[in-house]
Amino acid sequence: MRFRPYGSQVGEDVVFEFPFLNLPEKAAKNVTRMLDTENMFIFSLCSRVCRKHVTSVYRPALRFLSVAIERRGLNFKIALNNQDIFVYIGYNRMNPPAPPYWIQVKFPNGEKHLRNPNWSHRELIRHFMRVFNQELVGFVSRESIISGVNLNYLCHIFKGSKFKDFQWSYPELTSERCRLINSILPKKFNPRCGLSTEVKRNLLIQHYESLSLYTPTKLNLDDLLVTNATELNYNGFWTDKDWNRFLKLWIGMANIRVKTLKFFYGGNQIDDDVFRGIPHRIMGPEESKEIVLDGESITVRNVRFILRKDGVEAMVSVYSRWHQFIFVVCDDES
Amino acid sequence: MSVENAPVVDVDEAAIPVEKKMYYRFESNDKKEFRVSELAIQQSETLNRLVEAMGYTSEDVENKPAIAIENIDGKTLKLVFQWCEHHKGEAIPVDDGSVPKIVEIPEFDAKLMDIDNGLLFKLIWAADYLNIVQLLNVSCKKVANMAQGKTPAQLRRVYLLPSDEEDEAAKRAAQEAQDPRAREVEEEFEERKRQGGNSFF
Repeated sequence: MRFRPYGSQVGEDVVFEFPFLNLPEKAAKNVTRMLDTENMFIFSLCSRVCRKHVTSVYRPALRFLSVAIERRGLNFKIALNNQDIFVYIGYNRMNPPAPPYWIQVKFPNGEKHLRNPNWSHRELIRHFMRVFNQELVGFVSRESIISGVNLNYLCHIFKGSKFKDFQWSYPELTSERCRLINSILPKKFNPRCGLSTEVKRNLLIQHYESLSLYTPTKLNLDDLLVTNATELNYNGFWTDKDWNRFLKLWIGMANIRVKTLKFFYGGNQIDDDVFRGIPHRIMGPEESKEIVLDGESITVRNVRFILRKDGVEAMVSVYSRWHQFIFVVCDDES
Repeated sequence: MSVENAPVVDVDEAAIPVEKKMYYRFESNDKKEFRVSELAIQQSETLNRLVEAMGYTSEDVENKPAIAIENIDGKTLKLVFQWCEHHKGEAIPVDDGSVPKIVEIPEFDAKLMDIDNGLLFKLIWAADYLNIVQLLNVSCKKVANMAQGKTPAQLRRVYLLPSDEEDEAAKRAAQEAQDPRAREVEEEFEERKRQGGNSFF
């Protein structure tokens, strides 16, 4: 039976069925490439075959793909260079949880409720990652978010999803909630809330590419020695004595996993007490060094170099703009 | 020297050797014959190579049988050659790989493609087979325009897209049709599983 497409008027030159999948490969690719972002997104939601067509041609210029985990659902923001698309996928508290019936999408020129092609939350999350070819940035930032949510279900739907960054601001990150983070294991994790000793230790032993801890969470030398993250950022203060002890232990091969440390530091340059009893080399007063931190190239001066037992060198400096004590292990790439 | 300042030279047009326009003859699979100019043929990479390889003279074109295009019917081929004649001499666009691909449909092309979807489908196949880049572009653009403002459910109907479940069912059916023994093995396996056996073999 023929049908009249939605929104068309009687007598209008309307478009009827067209066997897209029977087109020659080059033509099918051409058609897909000619769809604008909104239609490309909608087309990708038609079926897995359509998704394949889209992913074979679509290389979006994307700033980021984020997901905010909320009590009633997942809020995605697809930040393209020229427009933002917001997607909301609700979840229910049925046991076992069922796939969402609708996907709510907000395009720049209006909102649409799209029927879910019977995909689970897990598949929908992967769908966005595949179509937009991007790892996720996750957020948990409101009290209402996590309380009442089936954590097991969240762990299930996010397990194996690639998160390049995850920020947890509020509510408290308990050991129970930590299970979610451990099942996601993002590359960068920023728990912006205070952490109990148990949770702090739990996070420190994970192999993050970057972990940021904030006061009032306390971080002592013992914590630093068990850290498995490659980069550790901390906005708390360490005394010169603490740093002196750490550098001595590092020279003696303690915690060789850490490659970068960025801690708050009050002064503009390193106090000599930090290097008391430590053989080191000082960069000339006119010299400077370019290093890349957080994807940004910065210039540091008054750099001091120390040498580990196995011959690996590390540079220690203060980046005055950020008031940060910087410790970077020098390898071939740095 | 600017164009305005260039010396004007009177040219005796009769003295210029005018190259005689050559028209090739093509025949569709339903035995309809078409005469197409040499310049129009250049829009089709496939036909251009074909006539070059044949090396026909004007007499050959008239005396030898028309070149058969066996997988395109007369109605479609007429549209193709109409398009080629209208766009003869135009540069063939080069694909820069951009997404979204921007293509405008000129007025003539829009009128030419004011056809039913069955014929549009055949036209796309013909443009692809004959490698007529711009005709393929504009016809694909017409298909892409069908997606404007549709929801996934509407798009599935417009583009006749099977759902995942239908796809899987078709795949299963194809597998079973290919290997009838597979179903028997599967049933036997299920039966053994029900009976609590761990090993199938």
